[in-house]
Amino acid sequence: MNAPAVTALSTAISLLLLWVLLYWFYRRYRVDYFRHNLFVLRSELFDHARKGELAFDAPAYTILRTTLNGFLRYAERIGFLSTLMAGKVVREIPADSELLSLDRQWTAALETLEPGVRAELIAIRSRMHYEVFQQVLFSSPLFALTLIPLLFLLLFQLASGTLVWRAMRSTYGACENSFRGVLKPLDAIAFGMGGRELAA
Amino acid sequence: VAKSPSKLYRPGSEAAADREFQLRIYKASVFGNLVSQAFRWAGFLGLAYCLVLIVQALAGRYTFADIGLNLLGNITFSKGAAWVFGGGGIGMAWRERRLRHKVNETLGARVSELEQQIDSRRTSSKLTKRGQTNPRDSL
Repeated sequence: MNAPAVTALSTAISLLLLWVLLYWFYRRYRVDYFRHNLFVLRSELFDHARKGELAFDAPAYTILRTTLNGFLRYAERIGFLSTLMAGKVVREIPADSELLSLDRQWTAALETLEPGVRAELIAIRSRMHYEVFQQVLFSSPLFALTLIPLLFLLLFQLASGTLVWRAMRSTYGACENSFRGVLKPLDAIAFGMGGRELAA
Repeated sequence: VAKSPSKLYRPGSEAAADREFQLRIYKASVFGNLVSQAFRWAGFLGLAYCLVLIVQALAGRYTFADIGLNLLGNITFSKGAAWVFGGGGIGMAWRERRLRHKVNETLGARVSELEQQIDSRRTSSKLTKRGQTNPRDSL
């Protein structure tokens, strides 16, 4: 049996197994992971109410808990493409629509709370949105496999660029005084050159 | 502590135009999911087709024993180690996942019962006792 035939066969089997890993195991794991994080947030919210910081029937509590429940329930349906398609329609909704009134109600509901509790609830909601954002990005194996490494590389480049820039700044800060001594004649030469060009 | 609750937005109480938007959002989301599923299964079918072509090309020339022996004979130590670690990792993840579902089932019920005692109007995510998607909600 020739080597290319063996390679072709083992590659095809490996790719099929990779498909099972990504579309079966990974996808389910990602949904479970997302749900777990939302359960933690829901428990934190419950604890705030249990401690008496806000009532169980307070609008802010009801809005946040119900929203968390909705994301928990339909976690399986959250995906990059479906969110993208739905997002296109959402942008057409007029600002005075009742569908967008929940956000206004949330803001109004927060005003009835103590500042400390308000900050806690805003933090929980913001973490919830971050979890949803992550789920949108990472729930698609194809997206995760293609664009995420690119984004990671971009971020790495950005971070390393910033680090290099910071290192340059701190190096300059450390030897600024000594460098000024070198700069004085350089300034004078540059001034002279500039003046010559101006005169010309 | 919160003041008296105001009337909240309730799904189903919207105007006709809003319901139309809801329907469009739902349709767009379903379409997006369908396209994702199409990609998923197209990938699987493509790979399966390749496998069938390879098997067809080898059929009549080699026996299953030949193919099996060649595949096994082609495995080097590093390849074998990669398969063992990869397979082992998947197996462990699978067992961990099952374990977590069992924990959800045993401890989750108790937590929700205690929460129900504190907040009698406690709302639910409608997931199963194991924390999985309700069969009625699955795609």
